[in-house]
Amino acid sequence: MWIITFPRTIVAGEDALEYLKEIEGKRALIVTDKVIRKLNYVEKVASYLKAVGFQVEVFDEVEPEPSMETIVKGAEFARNYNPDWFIGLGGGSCMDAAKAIWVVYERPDLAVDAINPLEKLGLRKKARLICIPTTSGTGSDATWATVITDVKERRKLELTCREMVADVTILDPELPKSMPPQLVADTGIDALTHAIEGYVSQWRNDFSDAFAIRAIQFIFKYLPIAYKNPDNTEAREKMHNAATMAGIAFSNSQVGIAHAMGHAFGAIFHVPHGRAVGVFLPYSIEYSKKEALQRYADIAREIDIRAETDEEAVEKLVKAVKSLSREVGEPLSIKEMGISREQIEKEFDELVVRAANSSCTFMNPRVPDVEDVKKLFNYAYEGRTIDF
Amino acid sequence: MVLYLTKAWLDEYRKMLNQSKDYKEAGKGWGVGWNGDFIFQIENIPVEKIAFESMPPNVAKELKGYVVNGIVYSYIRLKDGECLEARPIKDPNEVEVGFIQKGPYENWKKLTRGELDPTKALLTGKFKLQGDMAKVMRYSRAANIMAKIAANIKTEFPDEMYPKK
Repeated sequence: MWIITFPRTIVAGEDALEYLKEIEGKRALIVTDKVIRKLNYVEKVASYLKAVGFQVEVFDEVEPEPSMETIVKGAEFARNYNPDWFIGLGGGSCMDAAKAIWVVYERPDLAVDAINPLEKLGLRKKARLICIPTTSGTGSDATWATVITDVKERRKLELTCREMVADVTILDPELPKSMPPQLVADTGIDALTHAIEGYVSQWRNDFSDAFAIRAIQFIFKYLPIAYKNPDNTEAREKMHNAATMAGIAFSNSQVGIAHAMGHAFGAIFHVPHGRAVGVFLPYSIEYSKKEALQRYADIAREIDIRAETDEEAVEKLVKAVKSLSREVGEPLSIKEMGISREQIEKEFDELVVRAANSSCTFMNPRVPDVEDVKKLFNYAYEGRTIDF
Repeated sequence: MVLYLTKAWLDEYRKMLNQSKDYKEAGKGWGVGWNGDFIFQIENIPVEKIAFESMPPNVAKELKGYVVNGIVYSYIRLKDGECLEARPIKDPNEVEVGFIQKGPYENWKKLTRGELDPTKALLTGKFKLQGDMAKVMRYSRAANIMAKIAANIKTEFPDEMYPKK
């Protein structure tokens, strides 16, 4: 038995934001950041809500990789305003923050890091959640997870709870238009990592497979176009949809060691999430193929890679991933990110322990022990092909 | 081979946990400054299908002593990546623990055979857990290693080894 969870309503395509006029309620709280506010998206969202009688307030203090302190502050803000809808507007950080703020608003007795999937939180007694992504990669609009940073411990908390999935996700292709190419690349590679890891995860299932494969096909086809030509409406829309499909896939199957290593690495070296997980993707495929050769070969064939054997298909898949990353300007090794050997050595034990103990690690088709995690970091630093 | 539900099985489990470098690493910090001890509550044991009379008398006596209303309580003391103690107890109130994991015998069997993913089993309600859930989720790697170690014990199950005819 497994439980498949995703948003009750997904509104996608041109003018999708207009769906906000269908929402019934009194007070909406938009959770976002200052960059999004400058882009006037907040005003646009608020205008639709105000048109149907909503009062609208904005909490725009979400920082990249939102901290537990921000969540507490946001929940306090919400308690003073008493919203019946939360709107997570922005990239993954804004939507993750909206989810966590909503939980703590509903459950003031709960510490942020106590959010967990094993107990019923009883959400939706006070408010519900709409997610509106403005980037195409995080998938947070479709998942029941939130990643919050414990600043003191320099640790990313991977918090999950099925009730935390959005009631409504709105995918308006107009919103990601303002993404600079680097952000298109970082978020697009993040979505690819979600989809590939979701397809091979130990918890994969028929539903996650379906969403993962379509997302992978879209990303290979449309990411280079969206990266090079931000005005290409079709590419932008397909990437926006692909990111959410990948989110549905991995949320219902989980991710693997590229995420475990990326979360550890990103929290310590402050590398954007997509780039941090994406750099480890080729190494995770090479390492995990011993236990999931057929699955990776399936992916290769779904993106029209021709090969005589599964081994050859997977080799070509790794090359295709590297080639796509290269095409969109993503690094292929830790060294390429400008991080010195000394910097890595200084944090090495911490990196390894965190990655090894991440909940993502044991969802991987091949579960590495601590020694293997050390090797994986070393190989990814140098850009060496995995041979163990 | 060791018989499930017995002290001998728990002794073997404790020994294997303490031999595991992976468990020592993953369980580091568990129960330090708080109670990390468990009761594994194994419910719905099909006593009517077990031929106690076919067992060696001492084993039958031991099992009969611990199976109360079709339930066995295993007390597992865990601290900082080490298993300090593992033994069956007659009454769950005789010890103080931080966590109680409950589930039917059939699910424990599947877990012990490596046929159930421990986290997935909790998420889908095959087991119920009482205690600080967030702590358990943070140590989910340790929980997975514990399940893998249990699956590596060469185990015989009383209802299969001594079936009532």
